[in-house]
Amino acid sequence: MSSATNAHDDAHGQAHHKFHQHHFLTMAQQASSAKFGMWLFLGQEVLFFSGLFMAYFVFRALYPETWLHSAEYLSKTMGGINTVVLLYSSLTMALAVRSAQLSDKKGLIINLIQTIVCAFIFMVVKYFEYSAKFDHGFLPGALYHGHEFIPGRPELFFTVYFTMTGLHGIHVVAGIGVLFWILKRAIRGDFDSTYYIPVENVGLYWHLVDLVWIFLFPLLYLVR
Amino acid sequence: MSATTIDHSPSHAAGEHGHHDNYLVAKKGISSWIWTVDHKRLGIMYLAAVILFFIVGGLAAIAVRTELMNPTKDIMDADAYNRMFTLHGAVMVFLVIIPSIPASLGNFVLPLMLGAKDVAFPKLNLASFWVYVLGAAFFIATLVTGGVDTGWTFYTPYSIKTSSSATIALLGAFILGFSSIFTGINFLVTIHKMRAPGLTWDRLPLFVWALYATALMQVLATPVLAITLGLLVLERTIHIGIFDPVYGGDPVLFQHFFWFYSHPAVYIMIVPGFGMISELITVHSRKGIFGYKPIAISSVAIAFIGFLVWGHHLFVSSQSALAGSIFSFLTFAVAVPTAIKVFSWIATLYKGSIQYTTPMVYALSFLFLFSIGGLTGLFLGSLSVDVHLTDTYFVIAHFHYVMMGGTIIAFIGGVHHWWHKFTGKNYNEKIGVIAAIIIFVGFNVTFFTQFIFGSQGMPRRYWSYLEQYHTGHMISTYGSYLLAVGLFLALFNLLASLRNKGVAPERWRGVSLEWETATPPIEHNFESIPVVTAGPYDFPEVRAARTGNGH
Amino acid sequence: MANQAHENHHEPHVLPLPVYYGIFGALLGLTILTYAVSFVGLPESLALGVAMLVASTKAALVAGVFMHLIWDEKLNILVLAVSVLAMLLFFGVTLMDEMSRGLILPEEGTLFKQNEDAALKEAANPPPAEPGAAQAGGKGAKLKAAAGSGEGSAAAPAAAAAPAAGSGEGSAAAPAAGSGSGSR
Ligand code: HEM
Ligand SMILES: [Cu+2]
Repeated sequence: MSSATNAHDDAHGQAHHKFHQHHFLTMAQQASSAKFGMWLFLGQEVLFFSGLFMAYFVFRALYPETWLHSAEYLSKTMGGINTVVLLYSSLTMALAVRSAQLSDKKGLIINLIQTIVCAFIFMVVKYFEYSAKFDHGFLPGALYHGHEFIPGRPELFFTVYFTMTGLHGIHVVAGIGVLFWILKRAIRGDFDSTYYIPVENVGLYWHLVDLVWIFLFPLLYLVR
Repeated sequence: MSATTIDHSPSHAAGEHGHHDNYLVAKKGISSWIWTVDHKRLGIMYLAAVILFFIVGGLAAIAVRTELMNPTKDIMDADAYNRMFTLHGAVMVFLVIIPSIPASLGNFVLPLMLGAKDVAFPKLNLASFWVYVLGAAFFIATLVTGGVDTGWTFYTPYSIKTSSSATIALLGAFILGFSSIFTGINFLVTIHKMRAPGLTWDRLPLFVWALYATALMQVLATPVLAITLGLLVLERTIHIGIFDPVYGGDPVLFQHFFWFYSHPAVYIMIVPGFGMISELITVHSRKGIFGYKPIAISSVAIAFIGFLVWGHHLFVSSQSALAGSIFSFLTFAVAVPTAIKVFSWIATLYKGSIQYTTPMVYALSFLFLFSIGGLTGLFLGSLSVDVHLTDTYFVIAHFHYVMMGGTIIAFIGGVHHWWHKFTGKNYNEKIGVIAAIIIFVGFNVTFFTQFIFGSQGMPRRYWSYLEQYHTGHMISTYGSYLLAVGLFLALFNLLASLRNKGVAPERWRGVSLEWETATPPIEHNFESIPVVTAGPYDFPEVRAARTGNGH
Repeated sequence: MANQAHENHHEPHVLPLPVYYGIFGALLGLTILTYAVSFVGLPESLALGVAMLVASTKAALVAGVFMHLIWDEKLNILVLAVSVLAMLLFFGVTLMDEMSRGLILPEEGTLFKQNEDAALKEAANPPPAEPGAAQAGGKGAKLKAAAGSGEGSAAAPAAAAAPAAGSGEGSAAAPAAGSGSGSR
C-alpha cells in the first residue's frame, strides 16, 4: 500500500511536522484534503451568488429599458478603478502563495500587505459609490426615491445592484479578516515550502472574490 | 473469513499508546462533549437532537391531527392551526429529516466505514453541529414570538406580508443551511481522501455511496436556499422587491429559487435512506447486494436528475406551459434510477436467509411504503393529473409516504442496526419488532386514508372541511395516535437497554469496516489502520455459496 | 492512500515570475477592452455577449493560473466545472420559464389556460396608463400578466390570506410595470 510507505512522518517514531493533524496519515493527504475542501466551499459560493445573478438576468430580460438607463447612473470609472485594484490584489495574492512556496517570508509578508491594502482601497471606492447612490435616492425596492427619469422598474435595478455588490462587499470584508489572520501567522513564521496550505486556501478564496467581480463589473456598469 | 485484515505492522502510529478507552468514556465531563471534535460523539449529539426535535415536530403533528378530528373547532382556531402545521413542517424538514441519517448516523459511521480516524475536518464538524443548534434556537424562538403561518415553503407574496415572526424562522433556516453545507463538504472530502488502503470505490459500503450523493446535493443546492431565504428576509425588512409584484418583482421566481433547492433536498432526505436500506437488507438477509454498481451509480444519477425536475412543484403556479411540459417529462426520468434500486433490493432478498430482526422489519416496511410514495409521485408528476391533485391531501400522503415511510423508517431501522455499535447494549428484539409493526400499521392508517380523501378533493392546509371528509379525517387521526404509540415504544425500548450492564454480544455479524473495530469504538476508531481486501457484503455465507457454486 | 500517491507536496509547483506578470497584463488588457467596447454602442444582446465572453476569458485566466487549476488535481477542476454547470442549469431553466410564459396560446385551452388568456387580455387593454410607458413596459407587461394569473390558484393559506397580493396585484402590477416610471 502506498499509504503505508508514505506514512513516514508517523512511522519510525520520527518527529511530526508541527502542523500535522493527527487524523491524517501524511502531510500530503492533509494538504490535498484541505484544498479539495476549499474548492468545494468555492463551489458552494458560486451557487450562493448564482441566486443574485439569476435575479439579474430575469429582471434584465423583463425590463431591458430599465437596465439600459439605470446603468448610466453607475460610474464606469469608479467601477473600472475597482476592477484594476482587485486584479492587482489577485496578482499580489498569487505572488504571496509563490513566496510561501519558496519559503520567502519577506516576500510573503509584503505581498499579503499589498493585498490587504488593495482590499481597503476597494472598500473605500465602494463607499464613495454607495454614498453617491444614496444621495440620488437610488436605493433598492421600496426605499427607491430617485428623481431622474428611468423607464420601467429602476428600483429593481438598484435592488440587484445593491444585493450583488453588497454580498460581494461582505466577502471582501471577510477576506480582509482572513488575510490579516494569515499575515499574523506569516509574521510568526508558520509557513514555508513544507506547509503553506492556509496561504493557498485563503488565496483561492480571494481569487474567487475577484472572479465574482470580474462578472459584476460588465454586468452592472457596462450595460451600454 | 473476515472481509478485512488488520495490519499490525509496527509502522502504524495508533498502536503505540497501548490500551484505549472507548469514545464514551475516553474523556470526561460536560465540556468534553460540548467541545468534542470526535465524529462519534458528534454523531450521538446529533442523534439526540434529531430525536428531540422529532418529538417536538411530532407533538405539533398530533395537535394538527387532533384539530382535524372534526370539521369544527376542536382545540385551536384557524390562525393557530396555520402556525401549528408550519411548525410541524419546518421542524420536520429542516431539523429532523435533513440531518437525520447523514449528520447523526452518517457522522458516526462514515469514518468507521472508511477505516479513518475521523472526518477530514473535525472542527468544521463541531461547527456544523453548533450552527445547527443555533438555527434550531431561532426556530424555537418563533414559538414564543407568535409562530409562523406561511407553511414550510415560505411562498411569496404572502410570506412578505404576514405579520407572523417569519423573519426569525427564515434566519433560522438560513443558518441551518450552512450546517448542512458544512457537513456535505466534510463528507465529500472524507470519502475522497480518507479511505483506508485497499478500500477502492467499488468496495465502499452502499451507505457511503449514498452519503456521497447526498453530500454532493447538499453542497450544490443548499447555497441557493440560503441566498433565497436571505433575499426574503430583506424583502420582509426593507422590501427590496425581487419577489414582490408591487415593485415589479416576480413571486413565482421565488418558487423557482426555493424548489431549485428543495427538490434536490427531497433527495437529500431520501438518498441516505436508500443507503441505509442497502445495509439493512444485506446484513439481515446474509446476502451480497444484487447489483452493487447499479445501486451505487443510481444514487449519483438521482443526485443529478434531481436537479432537473424542480418545476413539477410549479405546475399550477403560472409557470409557462412549455416549462411545465418539460418538467413533467423529466420528472418521470427520476423514477428510473429509483426503480433500479427497489428492484435490486428485492432481488437481494430473493433466496436470502431473511432474518426478521427489528432492522429488517423496518427495511421491509420501507420497501412497501417507499414504493407507494414513489409511485404516487409519478401521478403527481403527470402535469394534467397534478392540476387536480395538487394542494390536496393526496400530495400530503405522497410526501409522507416517502419522507416518513421512507427516510424516517430507514432512520429508525438504522438506529436499531447500529445501536449496539453506538452504545454496546442490545435492546429487546421482541419489543423492537412489535413497535416496528405498530408503526407500520399506524402509518398506513394515518396516511393511506389521506390518499383517498385527497383524491376526492380535500385540500391541504385547511382548518375545516366538508362533512363528506369527516370519516376519513377521523380514521387518519386515530391512526396518528397509534403511530405515536409505536414510535414511543421504539424509543423506550432503545433507552431501556442503556440500563443494562456491560457490553452485550454483537448480533448482526456485518463485515464492513465499522464492524471490525471495538464496540463501542475506541476514541481513534482503530488500533491500527485497517487494510481492506474484500467487498462490504462478503459475508461468510456469501463466500461459502460462491465456492459451493464452483466460482 | 492510492488516490494521492501521485502528489508530492514536498516539492511545491512554482511558476516563474513572468507568468504572473504576463497574466496580470492580459487581465488589464481585457479590462480595457471591455471598458472600451461599452462605448461603441453595440446592440444590446451583442454587447452582453461580448462582455460575457471577455469576462469568461478573464475568469479562465484567474482560475487557471492564479488559482493554479491547470496544474492541480483533476478533482478540483471537476468541482468548479460541476458547480458552474449547476449554476447554468439554474439560469437556463428558470429563464426558459420566464421567457416562455404566455408563449403557447391554444385557441381553446383548459380552464387553467383560459385564466391565463384572460389575464393576457386584461394586460393588452390596461386601465388608462400614462402615454409613452407602453413601449418600455410592453414585453415585461405581457410576461408579468401571465405571472400574476396563476397566483390565484396557488397554495391555500397564501391564496386565502393574500388574494390581493396574488392575482390582484400580480396582474395589476403588469401594466404598472410600464406606467410606474411615467408617473414618477
Ligand atoms: C419517484 C420519485 C418522486 C416523484 C416523481 C415525486 C413527484 C412529486 C411531485 C410532482 C410533487 C408536487 C405535487 C404538488 O405539489 O402538486 C411532489 C411533492 C412533494 N414531494 Fe415528491 N416525488 C418523488 C419523491 C419524493 C421524495 C423521495 C420525497 C422526500 C423524501 C418527496 C417529497 C415531496 C414533498 C415534501 C412534496 C410537497 C412539497 C410541498 O408542496 O410542501 N418526493 N412530489
Ligand atoms: Cu419535487
